[in-house]
Amino acid sequence: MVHLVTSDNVEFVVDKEVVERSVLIKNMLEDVGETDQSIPLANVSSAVLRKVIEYCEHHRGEPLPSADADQNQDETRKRTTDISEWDQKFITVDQEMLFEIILAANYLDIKSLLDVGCKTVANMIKGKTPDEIRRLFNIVNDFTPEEEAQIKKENEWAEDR
Amino acid sequence: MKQFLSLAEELLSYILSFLPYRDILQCTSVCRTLRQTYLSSSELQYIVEIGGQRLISNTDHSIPISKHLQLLRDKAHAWFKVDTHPLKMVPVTRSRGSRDKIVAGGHFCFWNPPEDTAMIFPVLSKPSQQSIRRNWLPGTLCSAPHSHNLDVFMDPAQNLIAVAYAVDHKTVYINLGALNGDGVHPQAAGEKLFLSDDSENSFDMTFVRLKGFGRHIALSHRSNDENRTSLDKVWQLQIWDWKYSTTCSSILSGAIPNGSIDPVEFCFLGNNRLLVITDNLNIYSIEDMSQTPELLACFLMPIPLKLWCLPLIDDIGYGSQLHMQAQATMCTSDPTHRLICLTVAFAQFSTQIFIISTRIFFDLNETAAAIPIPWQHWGPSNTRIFRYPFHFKIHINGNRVLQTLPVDTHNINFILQLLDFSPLAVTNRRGLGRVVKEPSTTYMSADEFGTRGESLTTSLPYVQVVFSKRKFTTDSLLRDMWIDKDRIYMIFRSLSFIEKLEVIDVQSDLQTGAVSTS
Repeated sequence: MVHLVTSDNVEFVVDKEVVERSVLIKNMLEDVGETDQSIPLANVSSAVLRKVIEYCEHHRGEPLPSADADQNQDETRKRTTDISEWDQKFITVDQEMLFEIILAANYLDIKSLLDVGCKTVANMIKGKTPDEIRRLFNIVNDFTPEEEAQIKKENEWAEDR
Repeated sequence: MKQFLSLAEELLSYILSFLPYRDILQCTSVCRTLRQTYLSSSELQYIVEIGGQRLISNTDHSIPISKHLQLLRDKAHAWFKVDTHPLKMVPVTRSRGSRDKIVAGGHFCFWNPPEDTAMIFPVLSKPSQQSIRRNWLPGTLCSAPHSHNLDVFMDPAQNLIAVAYAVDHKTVYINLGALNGDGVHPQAAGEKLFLSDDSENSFDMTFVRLKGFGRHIALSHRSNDENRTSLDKVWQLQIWDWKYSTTCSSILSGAIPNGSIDPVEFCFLGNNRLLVITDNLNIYSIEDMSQTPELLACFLMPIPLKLWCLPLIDDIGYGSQLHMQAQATMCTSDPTHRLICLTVAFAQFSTQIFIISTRIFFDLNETAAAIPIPWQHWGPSNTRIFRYPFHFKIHINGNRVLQTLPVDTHNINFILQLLDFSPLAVTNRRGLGRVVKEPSTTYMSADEFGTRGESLTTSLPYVQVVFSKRKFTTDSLLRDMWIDKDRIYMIFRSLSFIEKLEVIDVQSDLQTGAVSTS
């Protein structure tokens, strides 16, 4: 069992097999060997870690992408934004949690979870106009009208073809 | 509170990398952060480039990137490789004396004055296109008694055939017919157009030129001024709105300098603008057809053109359909962004090609009409001058120029090259061809012996693609060639009575570039 301590000082005790889905933790454990010492995760809150562990528990036993395969997979990485049914339910959270999960997955180096999060955000953006994207994420349009016209002109070539 | 924009740039770009190119482009106009994300990610730019340029028709994203890159390389070379993949060879009955063979709107058409026959047929029908196939036997182009034909203009896009003819060698009319049937064109104002009376001058039947564009038809001719000495000649240009009126009140005329035989050169620029070439370039508005064309501007050329200028090359006169199709494409979407090509030939020594962007003919300010614009003010940045041996071929379409390029000093072997002058191609076509932005300097010939004259520096940027795989020799008898949106057409002379028209599909995927011979 592995002890993890979150940024808000909550301790989680997790199966090694489950937690090793995180490349970061896997490498740490390999470096320090068997230990009862708890691992501090200063960038992850308990609410987020709970979600991350739920994800890892569900995908327990699935083969981890090896370093070589990773290269290959990246090549053939499907740009389709398909997400499996369970993952979709799992990632149905509010925006703040979604971004927290993405950050945690990135920090802990859990590629499959990172992809689920990023594909979800991509799906939210898909088909939207710049204005709709701004409303979606509360973004302020910080372009001057001149810059906006310039960008429109630059993008013209790819439109309506 | 975690927000979308608080994610690190590499995460933002990773998220965007899951999107199709259109959505990525939408994101670039959301805010500065996302724009910066796009600008610093070569992967995102790559996705946009591949998708946006339609370089690869297969948008299945499960294809590995390496495979994509291979396809992209092939595609980039497609311009180079097309010459090995003629899409179709069409035999064309050889006709001595036929002139103005053209390829327009996917049709090949010509008129043969000595035999008074004409022909139109679709080269390779596209499903979306109306195809017209017709053969006119002697005497069928115009049925008026005691008449002979002076020039013929065909516009497949408008189903129009206009025939200028003279009755009893005196009076000239223009017949308006439908290409695909007998009788008057359904949209014509009448059966024929009447020339305005000009009894002071005698109409010279030898040099009559007919051109049309949309609602306009124009006829240029020269006439002998009977009040002056017999050497004095004048050119006249009459313009009709053939859908509205059969009479003409829009007339231009001028004196023809000694030594020149042609009447005036002109071309329609679109948007109701007309270019008339005297020694200089004159832009007229032909919006109001009830009056004489209004002179909008005069652009001075660095050398007097009149004596040396070969027939102007423009696709615009034949391009109603090309023009409409072009609305949807990047390279020729705008009538104000096209090219005209002036060929200035100096005897046997060399030929100078002026490729001029038509945008200057539209960016006119109010005071322009009164004062001619000196070459230095408009020419260098809107023109590119090439100098070639005397025997060479060129054709332009929209923003593209197809020309032969000699590859040895004796000018025996040549290859084809394609120049794309569209501003967007110059900024966006990374990796395809060579972008030429540097100014180039050519020497004008001062006289017919090729003596070096004034040097001219021009800098209109373009993308140059050379078809180096296939060499032609002067013996290969390339008679003429054309380019349109997605095809190159070349007609070859042969010893028999059949000529070969070769069609090369420059947009096709290499995999589908099948050869078929009919």
